[in-house]
Amino acid sequence: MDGSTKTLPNNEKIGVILSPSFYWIRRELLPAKNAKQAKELAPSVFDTVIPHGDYSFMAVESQEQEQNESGEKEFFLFAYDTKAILASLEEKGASRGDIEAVWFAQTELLFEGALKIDENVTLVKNDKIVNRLPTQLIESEQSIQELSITHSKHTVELELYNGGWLDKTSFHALSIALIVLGITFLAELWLVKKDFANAEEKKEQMLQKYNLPQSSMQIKAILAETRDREFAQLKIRDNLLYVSNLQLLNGEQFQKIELIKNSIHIAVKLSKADRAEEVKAFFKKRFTVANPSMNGQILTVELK
Amino acid sequence: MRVQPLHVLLLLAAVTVYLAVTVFRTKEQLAPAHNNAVIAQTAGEEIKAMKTRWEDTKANMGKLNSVAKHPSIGAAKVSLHEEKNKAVILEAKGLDYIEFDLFCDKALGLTVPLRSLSIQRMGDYNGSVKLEVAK
Repeated sequence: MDGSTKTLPNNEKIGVILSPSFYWIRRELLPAKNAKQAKELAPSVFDTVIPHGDYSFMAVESQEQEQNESGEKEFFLFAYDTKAILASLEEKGASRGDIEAVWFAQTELLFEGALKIDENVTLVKNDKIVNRLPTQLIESEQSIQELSITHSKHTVELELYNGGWLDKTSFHALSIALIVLGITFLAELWLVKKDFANAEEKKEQMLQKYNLPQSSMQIKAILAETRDREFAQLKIRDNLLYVSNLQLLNGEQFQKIELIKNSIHIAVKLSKADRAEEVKAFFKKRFTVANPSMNGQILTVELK
Repeated sequence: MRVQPLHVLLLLAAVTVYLAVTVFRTKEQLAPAHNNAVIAQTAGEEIKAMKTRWEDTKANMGKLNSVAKHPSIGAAKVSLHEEKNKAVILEAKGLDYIEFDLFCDKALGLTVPLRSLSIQRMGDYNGSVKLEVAK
């Protein structure tokens, strides 16, 4: 793509090679071991030689390294305006989602001399640097259609896929934050699951130890039933104690105390007949007095 | 094909949310699981204690025997025998009032499942007691 390019194909996946009109390039010997270190030096290299602007930088190690006594390496340094390139791509009809990759002509078009792109643009290689010239100014025997292009791995980072709202640093920070959060949740999940398994295991052990059913409802029912049985036995003794607390006068005595099912049958010999009401009143404080009868001096009652 | 950073972020966010929801749901299940374990333990201990106290047949026979063979009560007056209807009968006849008080005190103080009880006065100074205990 050149500034003079009218349109780009839309609705299909395309790769774009940028003409030198979209970037600044310098070939430099730098004290860097690799492209990453060279890229860090790129802003200072371009600092005073290109117009002021918001540039991104890229470094590519030269394939033809020359012997250097100081151990410096040769790099191609690129400075490019991401926003300007994206605007140009969109202006020419290419949507960001359809662009698979973008390269510089410098790294993709391997030719010697001149290479005709179209009627307006011809690229020339001068001192290893690809330059753009108007076709009218130079004769070229080779055209781009005849050139076999094998793409390099040196793609231009243009934030094509996130719409530019998230820069690389923020993307990395956000990704790391989400990964850390995910790992934290994963660890917590592991601990909670372990705790859960321990609780289940403990429950199973208790059920087995005390021979209990699985459901909590059934366990509660068995417990209530057992408590009821104990309560009933304690109540029997408490009721018998209450009966035995009857204040007897001289000559009065219990003839019979019988516990049959849930009722107490009593026969008590009284000193006089009118004592019966007092005795029944005493029993009525706790029981329902049923079937009272007097046989001579003997009062018979059933306490329920 | 290049992977879209936005898609990577969305995938990471989705995985994180999924894990958060899973943790939340598992935590919700944890409290009832702990509760069930505690219920099983406390109920089991209480049921076992109550059954040991009241329904241990062998121990109950020992308790009834200790009353039947009490040295202060004439051995000939007391009998202890098992019935077919899963019951044990402890019966004492012809007790004088000292023996009667002692027998009633001891027998009714036992933690045994009492089915029925009969106390009869036989004369001015004599009485009989019969207890039916579930086996």
